[in-house]
Amino acid sequence: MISKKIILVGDFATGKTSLIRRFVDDQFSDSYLSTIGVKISKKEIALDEVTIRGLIWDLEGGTPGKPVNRIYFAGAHGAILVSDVTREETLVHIGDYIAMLKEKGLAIPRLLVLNKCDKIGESERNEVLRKAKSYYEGDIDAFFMTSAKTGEGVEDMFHTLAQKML
Amino acid sequence: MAQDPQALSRALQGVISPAITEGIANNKEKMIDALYPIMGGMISKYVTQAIKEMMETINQKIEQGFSVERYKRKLKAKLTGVSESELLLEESADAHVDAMFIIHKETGLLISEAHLEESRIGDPHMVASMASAIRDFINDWIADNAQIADEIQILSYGNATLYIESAGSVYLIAFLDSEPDYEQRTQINHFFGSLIKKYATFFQTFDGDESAPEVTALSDEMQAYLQAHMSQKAETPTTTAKKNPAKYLFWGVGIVLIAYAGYGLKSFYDQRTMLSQIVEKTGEHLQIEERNGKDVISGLLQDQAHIETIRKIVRYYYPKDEVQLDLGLSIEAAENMQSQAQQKYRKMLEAQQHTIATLEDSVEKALRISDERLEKIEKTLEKNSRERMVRQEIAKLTGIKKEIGKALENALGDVPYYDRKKRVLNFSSLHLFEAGKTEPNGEKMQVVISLFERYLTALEPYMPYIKYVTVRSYSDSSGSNEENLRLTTARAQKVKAYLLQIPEVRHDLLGKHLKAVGEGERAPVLIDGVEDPEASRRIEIGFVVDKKKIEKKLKHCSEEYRSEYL
Repeated sequence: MISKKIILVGDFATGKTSLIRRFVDDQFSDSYLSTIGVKISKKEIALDEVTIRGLIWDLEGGTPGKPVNRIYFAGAHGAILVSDVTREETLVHIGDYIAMLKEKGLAIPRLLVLNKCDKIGESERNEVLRKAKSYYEGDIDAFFMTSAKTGEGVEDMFHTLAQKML
Repeated sequence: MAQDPQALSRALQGVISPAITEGIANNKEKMIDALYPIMGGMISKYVTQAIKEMMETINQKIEQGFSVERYKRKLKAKLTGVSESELLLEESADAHVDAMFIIHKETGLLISEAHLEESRIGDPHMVASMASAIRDFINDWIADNAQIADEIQILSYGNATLYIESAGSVYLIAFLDSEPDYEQRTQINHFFGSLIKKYATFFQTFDGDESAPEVTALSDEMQAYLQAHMSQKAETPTTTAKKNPAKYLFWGVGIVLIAYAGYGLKSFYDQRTMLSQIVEKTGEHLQIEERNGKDVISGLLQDQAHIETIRKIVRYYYPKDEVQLDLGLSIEAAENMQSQAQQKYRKMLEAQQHTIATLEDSVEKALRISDERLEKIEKTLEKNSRERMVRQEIAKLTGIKKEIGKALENALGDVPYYDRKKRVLNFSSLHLFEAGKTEPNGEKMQVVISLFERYLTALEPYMPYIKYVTVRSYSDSSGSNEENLRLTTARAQKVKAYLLQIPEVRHDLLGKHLKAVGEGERAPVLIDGVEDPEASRRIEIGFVVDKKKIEKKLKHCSEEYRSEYL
């Protein structure tokens, strides 16, 4: 088994913790998130020839008054950037997180997750995806529509990230 | 004697030894100062160790002098037959090392771990990452506060203690059941050092792959250390006593060392007083130890705010700054600090929200007042405007013929066919018809059409109040009256037909109001009492106002004006 550090970032209330809570194998108490700004969870992802043990660092959601603590970015092997399809500003802020990763010199796979996709219709999905690609094509390795509520896209997303981190 | 050094030595021995003894007895301080540069380097660490042990013993005695523990120990000694001193030694044994982790510093990934059978840790990979995160958090906080230069080394939470050594690209962590003393830290560091030396390259290139042979080898070495530590503890009293060479050296050095210890005791007394004062003022329990020949005050603070008070007290006892502070923050204190910051942030947010709500309320009120005022002004303006319009309308209606006359004068004043007195176009001088004919002259009819268009343009604003636009035809007086009436009616109809060919007339409502009238011979044109028959054969274009409509409108306006504005 190979261990990899994955960081999960995004604005406040984009659904990061819900993604984690439902889809990981094991996790620490949520109280760590509010205390030190990060919570560790674990997810094992089986690929064809090897299993990846992803240690997911769920970073407390950024707000204008309290930005994400970049000290936790160090040594990450992959990044999941989460936005909420019902709040366009969270998609705009993804650019800030990409800039932070670049400032840290982290040339790692970056996935953009368009979460809460169960809340919008097909045409809106296409529009959001088109917009996300127009903003970040070239800075993002893969785009995913996900829903922590229905489970759509989540396993695919982790699987893709695992492959890209190898 | 100069050729026999041994004889010289024997001769001087009898003199120098009593002299040194007497010198020490009479002036200890000076002797210590004189001997320290020679002996100090060699003995200082043993003396420090001896003092540390004495301090720990005294501490224990002070703490347990009247405690339940003392009576429990006495009872246990009576029941088991083991002496109280042996039990005391057993109790003062090292902290229990349960497990060891090696964590990759940058990623927080667990490289290898070992644990005692009864101390298995649930998910070591997650624990390693979390411990790394907590350490990063605290170090980040310390760096931000710029009060303590060193990294955090001990994390305590409840009964668990993590002793963390940072080395190159890894953290090495020992999990203990209590805080390790200096000696035990030294032992652990020695072991950690051996691992670093052996696996430094592997640590630097670690990529998360736990199938590497070094991972297993490291785990085996740490497991062996843990087992050996357990065995060492099991041996207890005699081993502990043998392990302490400082005591032998302490006695061996003799009177010089005793004197030096006296000097040290004074220093120790000052340190104890200082620590007591710190406890009294702040409630913080700190320790003093010696590292690399320098006193170090260490411990985990319960409240970050105590730092300044502690600094002041320390500065009093160490005015030349010959002490180093190695203070950390307990997890509880860090959590408390975080909680306080969150509370402060929440309060600020609430205050801002309250201010915003108040401002929004004020703006809303101001806008409402402004809207109301604007509405009043608009109503007043509308009323004034309406009043002016009504008055203008009344004025217009009462003198509408004059108004139309003015408009026609402006449009046709320079035209010889315009009769300003009758406000009509009189084409008598145009000689439009030949005698007995009903068809007008084509070229001359174009003049009529052209002027008729100008006439209508001038009338247009007044059309609502005009009943007819008339085309009246007159004849000369020759022939019968009936014949002339038929002739003029036909001529008027012909002209009307021409005028209706003008697009604006044909498509406009004006078409319906255009009336052709044959007037016969009733108004011949006379010049000096003699009829001009060519001039008599003429047409006149004029208008008839709608008197009923004007009267009705006038009545309505007057009533409105009276009711609204008088």
